[in-house]
Amino acid sequence: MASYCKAFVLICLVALLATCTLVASKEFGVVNTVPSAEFEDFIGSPSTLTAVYFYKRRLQRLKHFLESFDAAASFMKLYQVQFGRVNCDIDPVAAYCDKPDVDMSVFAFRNDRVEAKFALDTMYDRDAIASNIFQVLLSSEVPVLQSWIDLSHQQQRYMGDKDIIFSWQKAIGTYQHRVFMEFAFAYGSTYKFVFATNKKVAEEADLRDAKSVKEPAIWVLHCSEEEKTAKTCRQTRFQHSIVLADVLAFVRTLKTPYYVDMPINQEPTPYETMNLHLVYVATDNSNEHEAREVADKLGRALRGQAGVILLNVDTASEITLESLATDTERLREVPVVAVQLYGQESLDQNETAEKPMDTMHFMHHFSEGPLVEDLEVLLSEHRRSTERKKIIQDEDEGFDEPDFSAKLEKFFADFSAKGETFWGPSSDEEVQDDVVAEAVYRGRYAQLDLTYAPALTDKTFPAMLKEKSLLVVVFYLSWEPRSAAFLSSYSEASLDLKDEPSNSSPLARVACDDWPDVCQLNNVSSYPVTKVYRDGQYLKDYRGMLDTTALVNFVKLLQLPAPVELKTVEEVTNFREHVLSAGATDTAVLGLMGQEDQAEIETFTSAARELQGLFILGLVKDKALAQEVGSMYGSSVPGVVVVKRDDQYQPFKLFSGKIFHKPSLVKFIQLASLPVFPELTPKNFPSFFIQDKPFVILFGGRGEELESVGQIAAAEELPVVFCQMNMVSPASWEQTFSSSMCQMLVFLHWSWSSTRREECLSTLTPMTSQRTR
Amino acid sequence: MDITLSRYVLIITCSAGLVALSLGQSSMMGQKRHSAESGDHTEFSSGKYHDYIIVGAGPSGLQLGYFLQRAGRDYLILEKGDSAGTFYKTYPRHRKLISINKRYTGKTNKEYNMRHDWNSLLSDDETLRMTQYSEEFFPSADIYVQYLNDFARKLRLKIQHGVNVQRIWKTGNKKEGFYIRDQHGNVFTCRYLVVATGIWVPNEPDFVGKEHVTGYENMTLNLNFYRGKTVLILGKGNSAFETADYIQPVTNFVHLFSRSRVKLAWETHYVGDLRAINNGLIDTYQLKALDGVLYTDINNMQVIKHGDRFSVRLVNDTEHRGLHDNFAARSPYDVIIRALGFHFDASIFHRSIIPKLGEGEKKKYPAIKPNYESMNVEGLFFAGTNTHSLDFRKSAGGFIHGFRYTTRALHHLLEWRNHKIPWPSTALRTTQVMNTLLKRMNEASGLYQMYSVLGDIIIVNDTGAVYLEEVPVQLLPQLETATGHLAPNKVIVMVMEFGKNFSGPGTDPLRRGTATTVPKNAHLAGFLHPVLYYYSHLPTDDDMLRRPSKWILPRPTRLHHVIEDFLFDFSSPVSHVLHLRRFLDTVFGYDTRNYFAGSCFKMAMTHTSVPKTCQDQYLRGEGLTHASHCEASAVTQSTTK
Repeated sequence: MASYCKAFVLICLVALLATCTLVASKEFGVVNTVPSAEFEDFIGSPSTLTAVYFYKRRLQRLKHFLESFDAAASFMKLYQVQFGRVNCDIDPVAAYCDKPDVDMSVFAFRNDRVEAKFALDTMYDRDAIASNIFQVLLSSEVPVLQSWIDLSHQQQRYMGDKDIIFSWQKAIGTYQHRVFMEFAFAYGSTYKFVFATNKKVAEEADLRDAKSVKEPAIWVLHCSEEEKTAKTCRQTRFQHSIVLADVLAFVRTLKTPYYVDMPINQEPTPYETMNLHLVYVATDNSNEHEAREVADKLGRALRGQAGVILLNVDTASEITLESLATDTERLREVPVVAVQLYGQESLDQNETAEKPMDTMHFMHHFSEGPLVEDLEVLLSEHRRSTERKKIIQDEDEGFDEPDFSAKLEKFFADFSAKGETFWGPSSDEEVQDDVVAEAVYRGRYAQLDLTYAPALTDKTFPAMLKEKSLLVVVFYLSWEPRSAAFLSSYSEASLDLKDEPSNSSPLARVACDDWPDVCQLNNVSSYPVTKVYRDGQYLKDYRGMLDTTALVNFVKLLQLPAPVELKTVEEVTNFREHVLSAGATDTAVLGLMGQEDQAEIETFTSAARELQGLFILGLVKDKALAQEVGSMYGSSVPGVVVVKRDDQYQPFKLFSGKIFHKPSLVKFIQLASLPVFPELTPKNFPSFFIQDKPFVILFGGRGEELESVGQIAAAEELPVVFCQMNMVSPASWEQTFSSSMCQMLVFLHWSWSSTRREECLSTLTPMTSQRTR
Repeated sequence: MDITLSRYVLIITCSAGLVALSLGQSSMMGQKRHSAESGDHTEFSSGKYHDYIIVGAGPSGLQLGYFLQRAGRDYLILEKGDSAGTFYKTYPRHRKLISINKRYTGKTNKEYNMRHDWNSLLSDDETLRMTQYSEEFFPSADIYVQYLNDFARKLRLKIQHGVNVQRIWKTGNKKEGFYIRDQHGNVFTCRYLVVATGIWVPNEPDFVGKEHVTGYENMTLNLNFYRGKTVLILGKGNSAFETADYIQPVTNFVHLFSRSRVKLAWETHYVGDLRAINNGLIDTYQLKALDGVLYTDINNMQVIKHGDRFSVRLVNDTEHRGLHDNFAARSPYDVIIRALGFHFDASIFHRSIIPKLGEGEKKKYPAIKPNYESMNVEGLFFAGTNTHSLDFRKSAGGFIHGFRYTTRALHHLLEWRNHKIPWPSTALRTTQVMNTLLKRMNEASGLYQMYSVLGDIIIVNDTGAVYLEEVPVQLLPQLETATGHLAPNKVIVMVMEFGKNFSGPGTDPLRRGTATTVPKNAHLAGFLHPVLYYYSHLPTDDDMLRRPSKWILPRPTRLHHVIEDFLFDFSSPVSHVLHLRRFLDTVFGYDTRNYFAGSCFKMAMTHTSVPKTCQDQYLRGEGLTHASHCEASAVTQSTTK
């Protein structure tokens, strides 16, 4: 039995450790958590695709996926795809969450049905997610071709009707595929988009450069310009690598005329903003017809690469010609073809070249076939040299590239997320990561009512000190987040403590950034600090939580005498009842003495003063009365009884010390006032933590269980802190510990050595076995 | 601190013994070397001994007197005049101070307001502020004399007036113990001597015809004298320009001779350079109103009298000899005024202890160590303007608003050196170091005035840090012996600095794009901003010597520039505070972010450690809850970090 329980305790500890690593996982900005009740509606919303991830708190290293999922969600909003997340731990959708590996996939729903399921390990980044989702979204519009025959079928189907944009992609889930699919989404009504992941399709369909391309590529099959009966369509290859901006520029050029006439009056050509090379076909009146044919053919052949302009030197004005070339004679040697390469000027940095054609390439043969070939050689050489230059530039600037540093940051972020420590250095320098500073900043325009906690100055501080028998002053720095956060509690407290007749409260404040001299005179060196002055003299610092209620209780207790003298049984009862029901404290301390116990009375009185503000102490100085009251609690006289309001397992506790020694009396009162089996909360945790004992925590116990653990706790035989945590409460942190296996958990101090931990566990094992049975 | 004290073995000679011993020696020496001092013997026994003697009751003498008095030290100030502030009874000649007297700043913070009050001395008496003496932005020097005397009187400083020190000497090879003889043959003795005489001897270069030149110190202020005259002023400093401004309205025109470039204070950030308030002559020169500035080497000049007028010739003038007949200063002048500044009076020292003077431009000041002690005379300290060799043309140590702080630093150094009272310090918890730094950079006046010279030093220890304010940063290698604080490990120094390449004569600090607003470029900032140097161990003297040029301190382990701020308010949550916190967290190795109690609780329950703030505050029962709106969201947020 014992070993079973030991194992059980260990399992709980393991579970605890495992959950620790997950606490660092990210909350989600864009992806909504879908409540189970709304799940049906969510996936059933008409005409959109819905991507859902069923989240369980068990997978390691989910952070990166969740971030990518989030990024993909905000990106795909544009394409009317909604993303959602179901938290199977908190609010499960039974139909899915019950499946064991549901969190290993992303589900795509359309019209209530699961349309597709993507394995999590293929969803490695935003593009992978988006690309896969696009594939499902457009599955009926964008066919995946398996062979060249499929492609020729497609050509025949759209012959004389639509141009086909065909792409070879290495795989689904890549950036290039995502970009292609975005165009398919946007231009699907104008062009027919098809793609293949097998390069053979392109090769066997005899597409240009198909054998030599190494990176995903795009071809346009100009089927719309062919006759219905044609077999294959003329093709143009998109010459660049697949990057959104370049593809966009290319697609836009597909609808420009094959060639245009040189505009008169230097109006812009339609090619102006398209970053195209320009090919001028220069002619005179006699050859114009022939030239138009050449221009038309060049236009078709160079689609997407160059714009073709017909220039008739007979009709063009001198100004037009001069705008093109310094030496206009060269243009008059018609027929001639002149090529102006895009970006040539900037690349050559030829300072003498003032007009476009000064950098032009002239070609004097005028037959279409060789011309096209020559032009393509020229263009491809130019492209290669541009790319080379770009690579050299990129290498030079490699470390300045935002992408690189972003990757580096991401690497470190991932690294620290995997680390043991909770608070690895934050990767993003510009983002506030101090929650208090952030909360204060967000609330910076909220007006605080500080009428009853007036700001004091070098003049009013001493005046106020004389005027008030009890003065509580917070010294703070206005811009300091903790000070600013506390100030709003301070404001609330001052309103609570407002005294109607005098229309003031004992609270006041000094801003040390305005009055450093006042703060220095009061020995302030940390901020904020709250100091108590009685009758003009400094009494003590407030050492409690920076919290409205805690501060109000402190001040209320300060306003009561220390100790309260009790002369009759009624007074004792009233004291106890009144103190405990007033709410300022959960503890009433009774000192039961006879007149002759002078030393004890003195010690008790002095303890009462020391504890003023924290506890309320009542003193009986009458032997008969003390014995009468003492008999109610079984206390001897002289004696001290700590009566607790909220402790059903130990309603009161007697001071067992024979000798009244102030430090031990004070310590006794502090410890005895704590309930023996409390519900653990952020507020009471520190008072248990400082006892340096292990915690035994009962999770979600019910009546009888609570009762029996409470009794064990009240017996105070074990050197542990017993406490409970309520599982029904929605507070998220409790999720950390919830586990069907683990009902009780031993929480050891992390500062302890491993031997001390082990010793402690072995002491506790018999006890836990008793309970679990 | 007991431990600290015991570490240093200290030899304190009983002061009575010292006097007795040195008495015999001095009289012997006196007779041998200075027959005139033989009469000292009788005076000596009349008991004019003090632990400290300060020579001079000017601003710095009074300032040091105040600190000594407050510390309960035995001291006496010797003043040659019949009241305090003798220099200011004459200077500036035209009676208008050029230190600003800014009475309104929109703030009640008294420390902050001292940043803009350049005249007041430091004291606890708030009535002793120049802002309460004059409503003028540039008050009259007469009011300042009154102020200084009120300062001495109200604070009951011990001054002996009418004591014109003639000779200062030492006995034998003793480290301490000085003798001071006045004009009546009275001899004062002291253990520690602080010379606070300022620099007051006018500079008079030697050239042919110098007798035709009137000094700034005794020129007449009667404007009628200059009416319709053509005037040449030698000098390019504030006194020269101040004089030009004063006489300009009645003269034909005024020429200024300057050996080197006129340096404008607003270009150099150096208040000793030409202040805009005095630069009227540049305005009229450039607006072609006859006046002008000429660059000339005064040492090569000859002044020749022709009748009532004076003509100027250059002796080694290769440029104009023979061929050229357009020498700029060829027209004769009616009046020539010399306004070439002042130098330190070293004539009062016996030749065995004449303090070494500075080199080059700094020869007008005694050469001193960073602890204000003479380079060559041990135990001889300086205060005030004459300490400016340390930061000449770099900071404000030669001016009241600067040396009131270096004088305080001197006092703290002497307290440790002579009385084993360590430099005042505050012990801080780790979580409060940043608040204190931010508070200081937002209000501290000493750091602000004595930028690049005085710095706050944070000695990091196991429990937090010890904070020392306004220590001369050049003493960093000797921090332990100079201040009495052990610093075995990490040390942070915070100083304020202008950008290293931002300003200087001839630069245009008003050009566009001088402001730096992005925190990652904080180190490029030109304007004054806080800089933090972190050393994993105290740098050595050698490190200090080998520091990079233009640097005030050796290369630190880590360096942090707080981004400059137009409002000089360094409390913006992200731009200033967040980046400072990251720096400090690296230094301390802690996470000092603030958390609400709920987050601390959660981390305490689920992690093997909690952040420093949770540990120091929440776990001690001083956690922060929020009054109303943000606790819940803060819990979820904190888990994402």
